[in-house]
Amino acid sequence: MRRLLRVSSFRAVLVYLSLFLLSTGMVLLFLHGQINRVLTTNNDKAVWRDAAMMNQSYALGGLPAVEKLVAQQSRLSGVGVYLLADGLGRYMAGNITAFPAPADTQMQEDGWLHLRLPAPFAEARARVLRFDDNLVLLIGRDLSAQQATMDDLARGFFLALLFLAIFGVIGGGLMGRQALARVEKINHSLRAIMSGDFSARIAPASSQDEWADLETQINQMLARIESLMLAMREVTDNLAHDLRSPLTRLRGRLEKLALNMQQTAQADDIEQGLADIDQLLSLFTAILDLSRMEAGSGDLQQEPIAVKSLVDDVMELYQPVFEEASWTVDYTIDGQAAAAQVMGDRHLLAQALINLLENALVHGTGSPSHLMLHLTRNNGLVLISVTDSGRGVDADQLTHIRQRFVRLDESRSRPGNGLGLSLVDAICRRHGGQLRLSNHQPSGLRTEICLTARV
Amino acid sequence: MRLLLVEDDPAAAKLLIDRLHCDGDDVAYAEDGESGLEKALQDDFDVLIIDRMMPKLDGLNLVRQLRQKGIGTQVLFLTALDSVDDRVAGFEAGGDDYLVKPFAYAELRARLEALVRRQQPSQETSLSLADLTMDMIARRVTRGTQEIALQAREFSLLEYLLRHKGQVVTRSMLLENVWRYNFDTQTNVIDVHISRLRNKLDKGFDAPLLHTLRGRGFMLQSADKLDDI
Repeated sequence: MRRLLRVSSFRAVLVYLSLFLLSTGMVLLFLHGQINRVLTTNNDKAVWRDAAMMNQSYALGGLPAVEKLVAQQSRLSGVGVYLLADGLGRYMAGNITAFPAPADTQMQEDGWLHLRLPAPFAEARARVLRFDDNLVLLIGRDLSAQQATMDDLARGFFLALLFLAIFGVIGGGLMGRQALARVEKINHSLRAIMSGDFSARIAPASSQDEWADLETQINQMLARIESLMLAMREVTDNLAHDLRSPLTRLRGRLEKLALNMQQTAQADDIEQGLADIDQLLSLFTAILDLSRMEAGSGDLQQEPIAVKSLVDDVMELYQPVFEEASWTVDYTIDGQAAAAQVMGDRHLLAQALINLLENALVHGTGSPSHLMLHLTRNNGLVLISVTDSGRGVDADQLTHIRQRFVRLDESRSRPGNGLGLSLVDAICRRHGGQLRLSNHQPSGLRTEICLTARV
Repeated sequence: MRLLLVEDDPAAAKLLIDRLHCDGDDVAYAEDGESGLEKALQDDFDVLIIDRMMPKLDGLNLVRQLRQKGIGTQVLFLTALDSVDDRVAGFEAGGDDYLVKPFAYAELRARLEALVRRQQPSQETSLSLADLTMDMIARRVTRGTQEIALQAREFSLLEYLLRHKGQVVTRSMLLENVWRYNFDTQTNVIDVHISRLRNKLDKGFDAPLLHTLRGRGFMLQSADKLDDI
């Protein structure tokens, strides 16, 4: 249901339906009031006719005639209410025996009395006539029949509204579900593509509506993206091949030279040349890796990964390196994070963490050197944070250092190619997460891999 | 070793063949995939060294066809394609190892040796070298009469070295086979682990077993045989 409520067409149906029900309800209420007024007017006319008849009869025959007429009407009429009383209010004729107590009598604005009466009557609308000789005559109409009619009518109106609402919601739900199914179909294909399967397409629908148009458009867009990705892949592959082939020959030649030149000064130069080639190559590899990652090309393995075991494995490899370099290492795991999982590529995430650790080793030494590695879980996020004990980074450069080729030591004398953090950033983003950078108090750079926890 | 090199860059191939000849290997050469397939089908080789991007028939399809014909010769892919996907594709096609160009000759040499050795089944319940013994079932390591306590990963590391005793094992081979990572590290991470293992293995013994060969890698070998290397 909550999913359905998110569908715009269903929400539109609900809004439209509420407006429709509101206006229909107001019309029915007005109608109800009008009918009530007509019925009341008819009643009043009947009372006036009675009164005229009584007046005429008094004029012609005096008290006995009225008394007789009242008795007669009381017997005949089912809805008429009559009481003829003397000046002291004592009963003389009629179908009620006394005036209702003042508490049961209400004078209304239009001059009519509203009475509450004992059985068999319930409520009545009445007028009082006064004759000479202090005679008082109460004439009215019982309202219970009218009220019953109005109640029936109200019940009928309410049921009609209820049925409208039910059918409206069901109809809206069906429409919404249909829309949801179409959107789901599109989403499904798009998710496949986001995870790297660029050949995925939305299955064509048989209908020829605006949805089918949208699907066609998206498919055309996907085809375009796929061809771009393939072209990009071809370019990087060719580039890799064309650069690596001469480097392979160059390396082979240098190695051959070194072989014939054992123990001479030139051998050192050749050795250095080989090291330069390897450095060039590792830079080139890093650029390619980064471009591929940022372009989102290639399949991203999507498997559930237990984050703790991933971090454990990497630390098992690197803890001795830190210890050997006289670092103290503080590795803690938040209780909730111990069982946390994320979806992604284990190899890439391990590479990201290793980059952060090697970054700390090279740039984060202090006196003494100290590494803090924390695995925590917070609001659906899994956070792997690496904090070193170096000088940290100036606040204005924090956003800067994740960009390509940015290195903060101007002399560029320390090892590295300025692509490490860019690659970590790209890997995080490829996993729908992010790399956070901040300064740690009192000193040190804190780098943090943030990933969405698998629920 | 009898080797077949299938490589479309003749200059690079010649350099490599010269080097392999120097080490006493018998190398056949094919310049494209089709003739490579032909030669691989005609003759017996210890290892096929195959480039991935080649005219006529690329390396992946060459190996697929070989495997379909039931030929199980060890294959080392030599390639300019270095992404994880490419690596996986190489293994799925039937490759046994994967080396990205350009490579150090020592790296290739070490991997060739490892591949040739791999052809012998390795179902032993214990591995040994000189007075060092590894009991695979009890997971115990002893040197002489002294038991050596190893952590799980140190055990795997020593096992890999023992299975390749007398061979050069490179840093990237260890990272790939013991830790299952295959990317470059900027630090001396493998050296640190080797030196810790060496402390446990060789400290207090006269004859060291675990040796570092500069520019090449590491080797587990008894000291008296080390001169042959």
